[in-house]
Amino acid sequence: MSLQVEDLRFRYGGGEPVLDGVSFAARRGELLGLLGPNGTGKTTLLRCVQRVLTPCEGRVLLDGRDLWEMGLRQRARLVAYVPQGVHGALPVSVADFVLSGRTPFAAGGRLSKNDREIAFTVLERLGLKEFAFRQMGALSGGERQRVLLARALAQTPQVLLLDEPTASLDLRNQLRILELVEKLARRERLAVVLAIHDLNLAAACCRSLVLLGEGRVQAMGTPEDILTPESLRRAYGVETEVVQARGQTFVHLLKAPVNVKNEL
Amino acid sequence: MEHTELFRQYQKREGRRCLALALLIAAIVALGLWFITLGTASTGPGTVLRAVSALLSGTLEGSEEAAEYKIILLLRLPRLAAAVAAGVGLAAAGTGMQAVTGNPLVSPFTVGVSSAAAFGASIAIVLLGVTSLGGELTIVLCAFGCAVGCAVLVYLVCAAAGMSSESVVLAGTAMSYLFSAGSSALQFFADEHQLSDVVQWTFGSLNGISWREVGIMALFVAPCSLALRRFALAFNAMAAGEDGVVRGLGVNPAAVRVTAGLLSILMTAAIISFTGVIGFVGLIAPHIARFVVGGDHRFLLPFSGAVGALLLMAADTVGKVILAPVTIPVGIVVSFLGVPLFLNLILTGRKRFLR
Repeated sequence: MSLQVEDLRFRYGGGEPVLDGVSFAARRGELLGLLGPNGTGKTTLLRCVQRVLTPCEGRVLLDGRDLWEMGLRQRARLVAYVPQGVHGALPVSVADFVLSGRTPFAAGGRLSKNDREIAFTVLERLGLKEFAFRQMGALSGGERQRVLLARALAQTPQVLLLDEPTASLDLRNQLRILELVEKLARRERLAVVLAIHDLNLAAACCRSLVLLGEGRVQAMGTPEDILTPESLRRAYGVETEVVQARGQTFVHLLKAPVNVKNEL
Repeated sequence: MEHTELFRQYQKREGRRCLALALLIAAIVALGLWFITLGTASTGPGTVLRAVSALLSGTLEGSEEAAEYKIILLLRLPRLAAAVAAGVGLAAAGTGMQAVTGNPLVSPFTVGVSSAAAFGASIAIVLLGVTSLGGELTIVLCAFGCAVGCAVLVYLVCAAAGMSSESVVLAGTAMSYLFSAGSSALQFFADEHQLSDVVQWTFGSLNGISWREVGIMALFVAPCSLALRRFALAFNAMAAGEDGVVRGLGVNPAAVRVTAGLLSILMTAAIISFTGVIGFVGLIAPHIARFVVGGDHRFLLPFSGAVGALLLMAADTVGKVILAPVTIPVGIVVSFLGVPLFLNLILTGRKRFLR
């Protein structure tokens, strides 16, 4: 029971391929972290899985069902996407924003009682009750990220795609949002794929990691297998020290020794 | 299932909004009744009601006050109905255009329909020599034809450019200049009377509008605005994210832009072909409504329609009364009335009670 991505290929316009045959599988109930330097196509990959970007080649299967064969609306009932942020000061209340997650289920511009019930249950469960009637623009970064997650959950999806959900958050909120996603994945049996830059957070929360580079999967496996000084040097060109402690993997970034003579 | 507390709160807010909308519509009816009594021959609201009941019971011809009744039934009522239809239509079209372009400065005229319609009217007046104003069929047909032609041109360009919101605004603005240049060229060759006729047309007026014309207008406004209302949730989704995210919610933004955009333009073209260019309502009514109910298009669309109707009705009546017996065209008055109202709203902040 899983989300299978098979031989995904994509290029913008007639340029170099951004994704050049990417394959992996994400098990339900677990988090799969996408790692890789900037510009390796993590966001592109997420959008291709959702088939928001076209034309991409390959196949994406959910429990054996081809996600790309179905219509836009049908797919939106199974796959939800959490963007990195919302642009601008939106003149929308939190409640209405989360309700827009029910769009794939509503017909003729009307929301049913059931739609409201689902959206508001999600709001309460994510501790956003007191913000429900505030405007999106008046929220802090952490609150806004939770609202984005709430909208995705209001879609009652089977697959959750997150694009750097911790990017603009403080330490507490980073952990909080990922723990929340972990809990939801376990309880709702969601297949979760997230693009993430923080290797320590990725190691702490993801059961499996996919290291992307040059449009391909460079390495795939558990955090202990993937996060080694060698693979990180190859992927990011930096020196690291990797420590296993308390059952967790920690990556320490080593600063290159500054050679003053050479610099000048 | 036990409803959550939030559910009840939200339900209550929607109830308040529905009540406010009902009150607004009641205000339109009540004010309408009052506005009809104003004019060169003043009457009372009672006379208006008697006139309507005389018409309905078929005793109009035999009654002693037939002449007065006819002024009400054949001049003032259709004029009021036209103000309401045009107000609702232009405001709904404005809301729709702002939603599909994601640009609050857009009005139904941004895509060039008004200058195209003016160009069509100029063709009729200057080249075809039509003289009488106020719903002359040739002028209406030319204006409508050019406006729809302009819409088709804009959408062909946008479709080729991938239907992004910027392309709609840019292509529309370019088209607007093209048709303005066309009108100017025609005016350059026009004689004095034709020139005055063309300028008169561009003022936008409800003078001498007949029931038949109101009927045709309503035939476009009613289905188009009801159809726009069906896009409310898609508009909400499009207001809250870029196109990729919108597609992820199961909405195809390009398709919504084409359909809702064309509905808005069609409705606008139908209205201004009869009335001339009544600008500003389409820009300001959505904003006033947004100040009151916020950005949820399920309520924004009906509210802005009601605001538009109220605004045009009031502007037309003020224009009729203020310098009587001279009637100032509604297109002029609406700006004089709307701008102070709008500035006041910006300065006094948002009304919170319905948001």
